[in-house]
Amino acid sequence: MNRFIPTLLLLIVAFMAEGQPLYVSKTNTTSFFAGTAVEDIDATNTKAVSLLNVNSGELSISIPNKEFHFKRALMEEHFNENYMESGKYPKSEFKGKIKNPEQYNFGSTTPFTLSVTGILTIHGVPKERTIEVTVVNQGGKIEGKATFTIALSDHNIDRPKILWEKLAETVNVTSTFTYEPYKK
Amino acid sequence: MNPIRNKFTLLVAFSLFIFSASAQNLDDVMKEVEGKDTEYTTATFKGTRLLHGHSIESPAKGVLQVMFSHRFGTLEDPVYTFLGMTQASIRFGFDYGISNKLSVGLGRSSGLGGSLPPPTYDFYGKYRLITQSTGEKNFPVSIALLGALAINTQHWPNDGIVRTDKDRLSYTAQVLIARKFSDKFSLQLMPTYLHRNLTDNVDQKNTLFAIGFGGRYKLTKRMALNIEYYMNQPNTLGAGYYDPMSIGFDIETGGHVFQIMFTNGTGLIEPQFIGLTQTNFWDGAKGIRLGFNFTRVFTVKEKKS
Repeated sequence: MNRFIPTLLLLIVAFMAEGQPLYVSKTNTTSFFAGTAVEDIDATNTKAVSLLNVNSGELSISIPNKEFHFKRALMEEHFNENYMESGKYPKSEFKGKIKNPEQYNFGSTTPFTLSVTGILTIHGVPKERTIEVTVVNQGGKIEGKATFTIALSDHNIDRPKILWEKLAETVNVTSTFTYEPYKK
Repeated sequence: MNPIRNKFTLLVAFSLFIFSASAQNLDDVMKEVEGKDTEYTTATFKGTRLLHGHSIESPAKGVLQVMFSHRFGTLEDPVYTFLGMTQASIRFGFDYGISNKLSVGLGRSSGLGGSLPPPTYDFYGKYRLITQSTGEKNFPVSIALLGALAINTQHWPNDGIVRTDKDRLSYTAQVLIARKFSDKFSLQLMPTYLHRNLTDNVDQKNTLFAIGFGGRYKLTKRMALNIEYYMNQPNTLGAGYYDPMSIGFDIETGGHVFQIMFTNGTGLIEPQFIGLTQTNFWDGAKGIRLGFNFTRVFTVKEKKS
C-alpha cells in the first residue's frame, strides 16, 4: 500500500510538471493571393482561432470567411456571395495531426520544420492535405508559419465561365500563427 | 473491505479524473475559445435599388457607383415602338459611400416624348441605422433611412399661373426595413412620406403616404428575381394615377449590375414613380413598360487589406 500512494502522487506531479500541452492562437494572419497578371486579388484575415496540443500533435484551425478583407469592397462581396458562399459555409477549417510530435522540441528557439496531415475544409468540401510548417519558439510563444496552395476545383469553387473576373485557378496562401499556453 | 484499499481506489479514480479533464477534446475547447461572435448580414440585395426605389444597400466606403437608368414607353404597340423605346425617361446618377453606413447620391433625370416627367435634379442621403445580425448580438432586420430632394428644372409654361422656385421642390423620406431570410430570399418594407410643393391638379394631394413592399429571390448566384410595389393611401394620387408595380431581374456581371424590369412606373425618382405613374400595371401591355438600370462601381479609395 505504502508504495502506491507515493507512486500515484509522483505520477500526478509528473503529469502537472509536464506543463499544459495545450496552446491557443488568437494572434494570426492568413492571407491569400488569387490574382493573375491582369488583376491583383488578395485578402487578409486576422480573426482565425487555432488550438495546438504539443503532446498529441493535434492541430485545429478555424477561419471565419467573412473576415477576409479585400482592398475592394466588390471583390469582398463576390468572394462571400459567389465563391465561398459564406452564408452557407461560414468557416474554413483545418483539423490535423503533427507526425510524431514527440520528436520535436517546441521550446526550440532555432526554427525547425514539421509536417501536419489533416483535413482542410473549404466551401464545405473536405480535402486531405499535408502541409509543411516552420516552427520557432520566441519567448515562450510558439510561432508556426506555412505557405501552401489551394486549387479552387478541389473545393468545388466555381470560377465564372466568362472571364469577367480575372481569378487564378490556384490560390497561394500564407499563414502565420502565434500560440500561447492555453488558460481557461 | 479494507479501508486502505478503498482510499486507493478513490485516489486512482481521482487521478484518472484529473487526467481526463486536462486531456479534453480539442473540438470542445475550440468551441469555448471561438466564443459567440456576432455575424452581420451582408448582401441582402444585390443593388442599391430594388427596382425603381432604394434598397437598404449602399456602396461601400470609398466606392463610387455610376448609374444609368431608362424607362421606356408602354408595350402596347411593341413592334411599332420597338418595345416602347420611342419614349424614354432617363436618369444619370452617381452614388458614393462616404462610410459603410452613409451614402449620398445625385442624379439628373428627364423624359423624352409622351407625358414623361420633366427634367429634374435629385439629391439623396441614405444612412444605415442598424444591420441584421445573429450570434452574440441578435437583430432580425436591417434598417436604413433615406432622405431625398428633387428639383424640377422645367421652364414654366406661359399660362398666366404664378409659380415660384419653391414649387420646383419635392421631398421624400423613407424608412427601409429589410430582412434576409436566407441566402436566396430577402424582403423589404418601405414606409414612405412624400411631399411635393406643386401638383398638376387639385385631386392630387401635396403630401403622399405610401407603403412599399419588395423582395428578391436569387435564381442563380448571379441572377435574382425582384418584385417591388408601392401602395399609396387611397384618394391621394388623383384620377388617372396608379401605384407602381414592378417585376424584374438583377443580372450581375462582375463590376456591373444590370437590372431589367417590367413596370408601370414612370420616371426614375420617388416623386415621379410613386406619385406620377400614369398607366396601370394590371392593364397588361397597355400599362406595362420595359425598364433598365445599369450600374458600374469604381473603387475610388482602396481599403487597406
